[in-house]
Amino acid sequence: MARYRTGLNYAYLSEDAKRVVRRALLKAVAIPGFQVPFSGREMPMPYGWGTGGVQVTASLIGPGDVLKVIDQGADDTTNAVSIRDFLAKTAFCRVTEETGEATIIQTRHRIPETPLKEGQIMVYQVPIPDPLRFLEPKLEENRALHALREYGILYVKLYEDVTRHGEIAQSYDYPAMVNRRYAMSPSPIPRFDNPKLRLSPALHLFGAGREKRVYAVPPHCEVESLAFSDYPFRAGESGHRCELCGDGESFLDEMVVDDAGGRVFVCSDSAHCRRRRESLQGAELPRAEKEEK
Amino acid sequence: MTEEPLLEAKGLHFSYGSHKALEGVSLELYPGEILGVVGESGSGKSTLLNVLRGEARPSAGEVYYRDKAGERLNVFAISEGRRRKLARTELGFARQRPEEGLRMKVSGGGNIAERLFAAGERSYGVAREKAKEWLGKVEIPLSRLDDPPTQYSGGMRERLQLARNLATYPRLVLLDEPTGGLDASVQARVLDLILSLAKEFGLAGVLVTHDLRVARLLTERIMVMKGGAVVESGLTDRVLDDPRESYTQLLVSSTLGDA
Amino acid sequence: MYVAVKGGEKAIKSAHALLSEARRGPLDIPEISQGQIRHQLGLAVERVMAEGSLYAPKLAALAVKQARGDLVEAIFLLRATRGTFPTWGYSEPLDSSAARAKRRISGTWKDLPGGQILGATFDYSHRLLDFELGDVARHSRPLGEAEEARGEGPRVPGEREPGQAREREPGETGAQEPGETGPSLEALPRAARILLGEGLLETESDDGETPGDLTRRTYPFPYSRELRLQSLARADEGFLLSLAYSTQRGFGSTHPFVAELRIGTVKVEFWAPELGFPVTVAEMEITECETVNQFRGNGGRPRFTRGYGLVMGDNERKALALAMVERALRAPEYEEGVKGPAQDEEFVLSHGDNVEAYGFVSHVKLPHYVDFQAELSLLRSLRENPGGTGDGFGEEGDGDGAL
Repeated sequence: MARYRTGLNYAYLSEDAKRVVRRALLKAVAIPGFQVPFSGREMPMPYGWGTGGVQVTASLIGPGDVLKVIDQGADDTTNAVSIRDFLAKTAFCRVTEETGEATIIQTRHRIPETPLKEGQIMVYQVPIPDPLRFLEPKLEENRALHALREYGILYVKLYEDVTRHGEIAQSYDYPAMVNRRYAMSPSPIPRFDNPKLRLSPALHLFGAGREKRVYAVPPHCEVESLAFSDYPFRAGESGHRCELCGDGESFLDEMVVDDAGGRVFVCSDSAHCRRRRESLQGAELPRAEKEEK
Repeated sequence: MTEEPLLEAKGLHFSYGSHKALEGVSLELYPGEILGVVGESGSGKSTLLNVLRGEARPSAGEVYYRDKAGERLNVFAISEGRRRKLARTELGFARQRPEEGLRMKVSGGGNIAERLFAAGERSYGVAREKAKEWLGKVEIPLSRLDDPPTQYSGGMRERLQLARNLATYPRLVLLDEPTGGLDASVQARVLDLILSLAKEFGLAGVLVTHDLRVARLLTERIMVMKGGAVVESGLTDRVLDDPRESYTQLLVSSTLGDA
Repeated sequence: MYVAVKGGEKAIKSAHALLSEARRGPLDIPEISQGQIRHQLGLAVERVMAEGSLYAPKLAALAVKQARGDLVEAIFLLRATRGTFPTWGYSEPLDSSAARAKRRISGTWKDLPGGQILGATFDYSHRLLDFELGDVARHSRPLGEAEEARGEGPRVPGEREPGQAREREPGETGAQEPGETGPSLEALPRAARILLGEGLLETESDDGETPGDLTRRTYPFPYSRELRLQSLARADEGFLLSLAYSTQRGFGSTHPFVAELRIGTVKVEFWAPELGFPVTVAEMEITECETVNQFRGNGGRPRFTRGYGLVMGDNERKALALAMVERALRAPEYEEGVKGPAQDEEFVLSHGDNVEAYGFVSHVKLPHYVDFQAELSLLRSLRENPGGTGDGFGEEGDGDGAL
């Protein structure tokens, strides 16, 4: 493991830096979906690797917290391990893989399958916070569009999708309206996870380190995925079952298992999968794969 | 005229640094009327349009617009949000270069639909039907509905720009050299189309052009501008047939020639 | 068995061990010291300090060593270190006119008050590999030559004699202290002053505003000039160099002349409220470049415009590029129209930071199983429903392409 310089502040960030982030977070919670600028610092991990999420977590965490870190839904992916290790070493907190046990869950690209509870905080690592960025790259203009709630351009993208593909061809980072006011990027989670944000009892905080923005979905907040009245939002399902636990309703990763293109599917949420397997031990596993198409 | 004016400008001044682009320009525009603004390039015509559409704030003077509800609004005193909303619902603006007024990577249909979405439409089916309808009105073949404007000819781009602007049935259109880059026969078709659409929907318009023939064809009244000021105005036929100011005479003889 | 494709603690631990071995290299070769890096690879250290936004030669040398000579990685290390430092306050504005110069040249005048000082430059060295330099045991620099050069200075016409008294400008202070290695820059009036006197150059004035601090706050575009200069000062040298080059090739040309380029050591003063006067807390080297650019005349008599670049440390390639790009970014101010990428403020300032760029570009190495899986399922479903004329991946997230 990396050797840490002694004399670092608790949870790495200076108390000053934490206060800056907390102030921004308070504002973000007060204005759901609104991107609040904050003066991010360089972190000891590269931009794009979770600096926004780490700054949010570091400014909230205390010794009594229980931390879970996932990347792609799994607790054991390298970057999740690296971030968890960093936070555990600098914040001296307990870590867990159990979603239900965690008080803070930092994530990249997934929301856990286990339903979140009141009092839990989800912290998302965000690459590009603005859902308008790829439609209109100028920050100056985007600020005006958000301020005036001019979101017609988002529907043009959907229109083009339906015209070209017969459906809305956005499989992840699917934009949503928060509290019927601000269009928000939910970070690159699969659209499968979007419904989990709606009226969630947990607090959801989004940190974009390189872009220096934070935003939030407070508990029990309306989050509506963008769609047409005649082409409603579909979360989508995989049509497969997990090879390991047999779940047919969780988000599945596809694994190539041989040179002949053979594939199996397993839960992307590794903690969820393990718990199911443990509870099913002894019992007959539901038959995996090749059931439908 | 017993009606109230739709658009009024009073004593507009505007400068770029020390260059004075507008010096005390006033005008009134009534519903259903098309006003021509003619002059050489650099005379302040395009600046005037930018001020009228609420994009450039004048250093002095006011612009009033009477909205659908009949309220007379000081365009630069209302909030930016309200001004932008008017701009995307009640106002149409056709740029000199249609490429700047269109989304070149988005299909023709999507370009028209954007205006509808901006005005609150949330049904794909409705937006698509209206896009088709407007494509028909501006005489673009339906088979081109899903092609991007990059694959359109210059004349088609002009017409798509018109369709995109008219899709929300604006009450006022501002046209900046709408046929500037087109050859003569295409120009005639586009002009014809503008005229018939204006009649059909009772549009009022301000048309900026350096081409007096275009002004004669489309407008009832014209203003002649020079160095940021209005030198002469009146009924189009009167001004062009019997120009009083020497500058207008020069302009008429040099552009209309022996026509 | 499937969990194996996802890495883990052990893999990371092994990676660190291998990295540490690779950094040290073969054990029969002596380990390089911080001092050797600092003094013998000085320009690498200077660049790391400039882009790392931290003037700390020892730390920068350590960063170069830790990064195995990867300067962008070293810059990143220094920035991250800087991020842990509290802000105590801001120094007084640097007074480059009270600095000790080791180099000062002007491209606009053959001869100017104070003369030209070539200093240690690559400019006139023939780029031939010096094989003698490769033989560490035999090579040592000829003693006395550099001392002599410094004493006399490489003479160019018009330069004053060493030790020659100069006329003091009204209001100037600070005599040269004994033991200083170069003439004070104060002895060298700014080249721009010559044009200013004639009214040929646009004047600059202090607007009295307190400068912002990009490292402690975020600001919306457009930036004020001082924020722009801050952002450029820590921007990637290669990025600025290429942008400056692009303006010369017509993508927003500004016709620059180098009025002056100077490298010297300045005092950093801190105003301590307890004392009621500024105290010198450090000395640092800076490179400063002023360009004189194409004139403009609308509304008034024509005048030259100017660009400015200030970089920490000895880094004249960057200072020069910076001044050119800075001037290019003033295009809207002069109503020149934004025609080239170097004139587009949001483009230049959003993409020049190599720590940001390095991180975000390299993050595509991270697993994207979930997004890819979502995209895969979508693509399959689209292929099952013919009628689409679709192409490409989704345009959001990590994709590109504004509508």
